[in-house]
Amino acid sequence: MSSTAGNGGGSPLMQTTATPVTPNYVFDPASNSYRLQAFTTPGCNNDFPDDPASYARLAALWSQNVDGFTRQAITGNPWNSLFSSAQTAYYNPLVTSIPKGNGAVDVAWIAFPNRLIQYLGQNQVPPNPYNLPQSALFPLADSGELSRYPIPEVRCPQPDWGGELQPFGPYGPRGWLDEYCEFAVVRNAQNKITRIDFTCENPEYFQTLWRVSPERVCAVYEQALNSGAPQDQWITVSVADLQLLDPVSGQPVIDPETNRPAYNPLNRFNSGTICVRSGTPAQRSGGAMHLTATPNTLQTELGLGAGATVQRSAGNTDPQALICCGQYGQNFRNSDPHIGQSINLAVGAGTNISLADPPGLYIQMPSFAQYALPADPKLPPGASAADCWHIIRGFEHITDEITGTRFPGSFILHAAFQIPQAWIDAGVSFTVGDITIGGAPIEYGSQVQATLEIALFGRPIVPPPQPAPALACVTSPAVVTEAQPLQILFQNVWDAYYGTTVNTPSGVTMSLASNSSIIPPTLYPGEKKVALALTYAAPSGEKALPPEQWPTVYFTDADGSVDSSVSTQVTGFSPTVTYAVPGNTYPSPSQLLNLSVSVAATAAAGVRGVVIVPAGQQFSSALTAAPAFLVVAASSTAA
Amino acid sequence: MNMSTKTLILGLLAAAVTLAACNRETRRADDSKASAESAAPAPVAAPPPAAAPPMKGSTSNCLAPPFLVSATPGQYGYTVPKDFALTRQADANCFAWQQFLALNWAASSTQRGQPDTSVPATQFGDPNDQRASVWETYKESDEVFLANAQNPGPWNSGFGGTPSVKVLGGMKSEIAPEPTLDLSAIGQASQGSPWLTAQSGILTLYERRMNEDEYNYIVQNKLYNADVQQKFVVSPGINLPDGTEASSAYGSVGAIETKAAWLELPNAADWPYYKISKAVVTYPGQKPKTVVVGLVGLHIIHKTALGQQFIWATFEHKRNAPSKSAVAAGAFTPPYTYYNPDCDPATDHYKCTVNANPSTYNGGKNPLTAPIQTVRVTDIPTRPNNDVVGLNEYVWAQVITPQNPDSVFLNYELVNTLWSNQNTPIAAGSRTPLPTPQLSPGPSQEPVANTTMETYVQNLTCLDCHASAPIASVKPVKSTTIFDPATAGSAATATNPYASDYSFLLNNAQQPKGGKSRAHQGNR
Repeated sequence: MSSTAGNGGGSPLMQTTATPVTPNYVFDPASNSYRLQAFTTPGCNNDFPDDPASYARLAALWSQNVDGFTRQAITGNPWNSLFSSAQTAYYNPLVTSIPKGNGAVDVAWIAFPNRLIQYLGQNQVPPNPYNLPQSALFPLADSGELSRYPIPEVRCPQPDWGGELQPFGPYGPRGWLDEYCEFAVVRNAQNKITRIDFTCENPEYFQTLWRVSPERVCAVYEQALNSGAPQDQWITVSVADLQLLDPVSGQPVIDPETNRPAYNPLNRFNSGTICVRSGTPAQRSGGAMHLTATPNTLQTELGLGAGATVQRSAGNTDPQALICCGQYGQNFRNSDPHIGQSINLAVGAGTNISLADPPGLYIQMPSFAQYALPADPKLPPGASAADCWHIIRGFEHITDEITGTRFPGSFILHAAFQIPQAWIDAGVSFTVGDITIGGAPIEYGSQVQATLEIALFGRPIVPPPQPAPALACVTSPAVVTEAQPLQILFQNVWDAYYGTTVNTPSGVTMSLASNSSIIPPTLYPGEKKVALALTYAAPSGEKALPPEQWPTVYFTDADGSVDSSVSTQVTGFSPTVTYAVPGNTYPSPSQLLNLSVSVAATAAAGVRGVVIVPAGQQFSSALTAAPAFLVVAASSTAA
Repeated sequence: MNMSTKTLILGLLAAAVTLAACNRETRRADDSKASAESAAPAPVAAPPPAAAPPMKGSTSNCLAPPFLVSATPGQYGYTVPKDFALTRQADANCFAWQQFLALNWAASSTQRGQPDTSVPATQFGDPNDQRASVWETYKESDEVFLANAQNPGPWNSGFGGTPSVKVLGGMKSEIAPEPTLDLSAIGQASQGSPWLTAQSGILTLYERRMNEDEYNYIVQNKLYNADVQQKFVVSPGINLPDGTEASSAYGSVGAIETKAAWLELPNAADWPYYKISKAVVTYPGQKPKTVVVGLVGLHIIHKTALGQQFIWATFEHKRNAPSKSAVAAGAFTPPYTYYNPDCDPATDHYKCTVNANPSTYNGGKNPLTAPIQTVRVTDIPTRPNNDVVGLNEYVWAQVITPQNPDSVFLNYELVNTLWSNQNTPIAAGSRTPLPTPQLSPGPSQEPVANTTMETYVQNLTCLDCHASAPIASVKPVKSTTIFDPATAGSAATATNPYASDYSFLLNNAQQPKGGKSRAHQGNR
């Protein structure tokens, strides 16, 4: 294994040896415990090693976002669901101290998408009609050409193959890679693999980094995708390559918060599994920089973590039954049911739990047990397939500040499997495609993916404040009266995302809005009539509503009271917008409110919640605000 | 060594332990079982070391780290854990080690399958101790599945004697005047039943046992009768107990099976480094003889609430064989029991071919005494998410050594632990092969194999074969068919044999008189 800082060039990222950022804990001797002061950037990675001020801005924004995700996760869904709210066995480490010595646990799962195995493969319960051997699943995992393989619409408690079928999802250019690990493959003229990039980075981080510096995002792309690659295959990445374009005008969409172009998460160098690294620079494309499958978000991950803390009255030993009961993810993934059960067991054993800082999803070191190299006499002595594993972003080991020992796992954000330069210099001529795993040459990126795991790290703490009673399975109330806020964006950004259609290998088109992030927009004190788009689940469903039946919207302070310094007018309503709310696997209909929001010049800086009050109802403290739906800027956090 | 000499040495050891451990007496004073077991010196644990040793090894923060003496007063390592704490590889590994510690505790002399709780942790693995450990008093397969489908009787039948008499488990121990093991099987569980000959020229011997929960399930449901199995497998279905309330009629631990590999140790100088037992061994073509055997490999499989596909742990003696990578790098430290670093192809029967399969090499015509040049194909894992090496170091340094720095179990290592991350109950009427979903380690990761028991199929993993474990046949069969696990659940399995819940023991059941008696099927 090698850690590659980069391949030269002018980027500051390529000139430095990466060192992990130290999480910011404060130790309280009286309670012998630590309190986290701010969430740390994923993998303790620093994308501004040359610019402390920019890193500080990024870190503050990032912590603000993760704090919002955490509070949303704990809140759960009190609006249109039963038994899935106030999930307080998930703690927020910014407000709950961690006893000294409390270690973290890795929850790891195989990165190859198990839903492909479950719904298309052999050896499954219940059996599927396709019965494909694993050797047939590898090419499908690389191509995503799954249109011939519909799966049951009803998948809980068991897949109902006798019922209605639907296209295999998640959709998207890499949607089927839904285990929080996506990859892109470089091939040579002989169609042999020369490099595979793996990423587990969450999209929210790149959205946040973009808000601080689009140019730095470009530098990160170049550093990651060029690292260790032959120079004649390097790419150059510009803001124009990554920016969001208006689907009508073709012009960049300006983010009102930064007055710069907004970010397109499915851009030229972060889409699909195929990399083109030959031809002119303009002809080069592809790469895996961050997750794009719609459920592969950090916000979702925290929501899953909190949802899984709830002890259920049945099904706790069966990860599939439990996830169907708790409705916190998709059954038959390697990831969601396993994460859920692990967290559920930890809480059931008498702990509270949270993702250990830095929260994220992390690539783990592959098992090279079944790899074999060609017998090339020019291989350096002691060469092994592990030498082809290049950690490009993140770290194999990080020391846990709470215990003073290593975390039980790796914090790798981006890795590439490629022939090391030292071998090429020694005259080795074979490619990645000549290496075998279990006797089979590496023809597909997913073969390597099957040898590695993705992990998150949880930190259970004891004693818990109060063990919660076991609850029944999540279900819908007989009558829904409340509105569930889902996502909020600047109106023009929403319009561009929602109006952009993405073609996918599965044959199902999707809206780019499915790849947006649940990050609240930031307004500045004194701004007036800012147009925002708020998606939500209306109790009236997809029913068209006349203006007098439109709901009212309130932004709220931390105590749940209405913040009078933020005034909001609902200016429009759409009964149906169909997209996968970020974190969801499949698109579904939601409702959309167009808002006109003004912020008093005297408004205090900070994060606001939101309450949507359906027509005919009054705001009351009994209504639960959805946390972190708007930010009023302060100089320290404004991008 | 005659009996009087042994008695003297054991007495001295006991006295030494007592002197060393007297300040921990109060920690065991509330253990009623302890006082009931023995009138010997009060059971005690070792005092904490004067200076804390440097932290060595790692549990990878498993929630239930292995222990011989818990920090929680009154808890000792002889209690078999019921399940892993979290469905996580690190916790599966810790669970495996805790089982090993519990099952290798000295056995009760009065109750089969139970520990002698009067034996302190400081005696865990005392060198030259030939007392049976807990798992050695489990029922051997041949004690359960009797000719003509006879009821094997109560679990504790034929067991025990005066408390002071050591008991070595095994069928012959029940009928012989001197308790002994009966080790007659030499074939491994793979095609051709190949044998494994050590560098000493001595054959490796195998035995398989089950615990009380599994035994109770078999006896209460008359599954020792092959005819009964045919109906029972369809309704209500063969579903070995998992220690939950639903199977409480059979016990609270869950079904456990062990498979052990033993090797005769003619040189007494080797004994202090092995878990040893006295055994009557019968080599092919030879008369039975009583020898001392050393444990070289041990599988422990356990069905639990979270492990419906069982949790598969395998241990080996550290001196068995080097790994393939260590040999390639020249980074190994002989001597090894099964590997000769000076092997000469000119004189070696197998020409020093690594892991030469004696059932196929040279057409299968090979002398039983020719050593097999054995290597471990897959390194014991060190990757951060499956740091078995780190856990082994932790157990040796922080669990066993503080209690008994001379313990023979310091010479044993966990190789790996296999479990399913898609805990899937088996439906009634399931046919082989059973599903093996979401295994950990995954199919493309480390195969889980033991160099002494799967020497020639180290590329496979336990469930590759156990998924095809059938119930007992009432028709003549030459051998057990290992089906492609990938066909599980498909229409292609419609005529396959009914599955026995991953256990190869159940197919040893016989038919009662009137039915055809038959030999045991091949695959174990």
